[in-house]
Amino acid sequence: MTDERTGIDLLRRAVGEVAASLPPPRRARRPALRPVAWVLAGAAVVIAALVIGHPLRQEAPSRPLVEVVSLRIQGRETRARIVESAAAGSIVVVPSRQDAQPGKKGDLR
Amino acid sequence: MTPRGASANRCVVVMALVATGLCLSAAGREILAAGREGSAEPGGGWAGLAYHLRVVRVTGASAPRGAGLGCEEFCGTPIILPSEEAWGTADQITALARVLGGERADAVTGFLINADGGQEARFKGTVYPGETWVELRFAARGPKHGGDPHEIELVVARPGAAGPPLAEAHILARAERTVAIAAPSPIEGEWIVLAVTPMDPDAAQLRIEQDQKIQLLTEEPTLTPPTLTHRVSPVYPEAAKEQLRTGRIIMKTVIDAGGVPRAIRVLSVPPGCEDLASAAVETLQQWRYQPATLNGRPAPMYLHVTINFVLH
Repeated sequence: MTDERTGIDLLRRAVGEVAASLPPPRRARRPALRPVAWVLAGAAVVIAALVIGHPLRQEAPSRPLVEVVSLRIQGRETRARIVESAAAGSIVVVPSRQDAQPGKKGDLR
Repeated sequence: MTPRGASANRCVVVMALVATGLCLSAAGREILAAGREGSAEPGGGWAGLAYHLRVVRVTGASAPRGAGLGCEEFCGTPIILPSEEAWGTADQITALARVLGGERADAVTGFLINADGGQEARFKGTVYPGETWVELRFAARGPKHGGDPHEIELVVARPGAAGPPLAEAHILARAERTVAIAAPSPIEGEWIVLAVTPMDPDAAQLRIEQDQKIQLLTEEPTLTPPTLTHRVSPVYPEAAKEQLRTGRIIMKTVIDAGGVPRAIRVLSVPPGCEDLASAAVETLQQWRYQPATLNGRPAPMYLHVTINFVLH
């Protein structure tokens, strides 16, 4: 019995050593994503980045509605005074205050 | 495939669809924008370029002070508008007067310019406020690409006078945006405002058709034409009297439903007789009419008026 026990113990140890030298058992792999899904995911990321990063020209508010390139009153280069009022419904370019005719009824107030 | 794996797959597919949708939406807007830009003619100009010109006289007086307008060159399709419509509503035209420190503003008339599909539009005319006359010049270049501004040049000058124009401006403006310059008038305390709106050609055509409806009224068999009820004699300008100048001034006006001559256009002036035209406009503005009636109701109507200046 003793020899048998010893033999069994030896065998167990041997099995244990072999088991210890082996790499740890790998867990069962989850089913992988289909390749087409990865392609779609990659495309989604790229497209989203393009959409977010690309400024739409339609929404660019930088262009002015009216720009006065030059205004001369009686030959003098004059600073334009642009009046854009909801009441007037339009833009009126008039001379700046110092260039208006002083002392006249049409002087800007 | 486990339920967890299938869920991940569905999530990725939904993300891809959302992003693709966003991309298509953005692309669609870009395509639409490009389409609008692409409507320009190959030569650079837009077909049917149209501008609406108006002249407004701003005065310190509380009583109406109109003016007449004549066109010398590049007249396009003229459109006559009742006074308030030439700028906007009555409140808007009053607001314009206030902006300029005046008491009231009276619109003279409107001209619509069609550039016949070319790149440029021009207009040269004269405004007759009653005591003097002022030359107006307008030139515009349409946008080369959609979204580009219209380049507009406006000049208000005293014809024949030495020195620079009363006012000149170079303005870039978007379509449908009214721009105007206020020039100090030769009449002390007054302003001459020259306004222009780049118009959509279809909208311009609609205005012409509205104008033609008024023109057609004159051919209605049931129309009773206006009759003159209050007439004042024209004042012969002193300079013309001294120089023995005579002449016939032909004008076209709208007698509105109240019997008041509006939107006076000076059609014919003898050379060098602008002072006579101005006196004729001043005179006509004071005349009053029994308005035309159509089916028994007052209606606006065009009328040709001739004033003859003769020396006895």
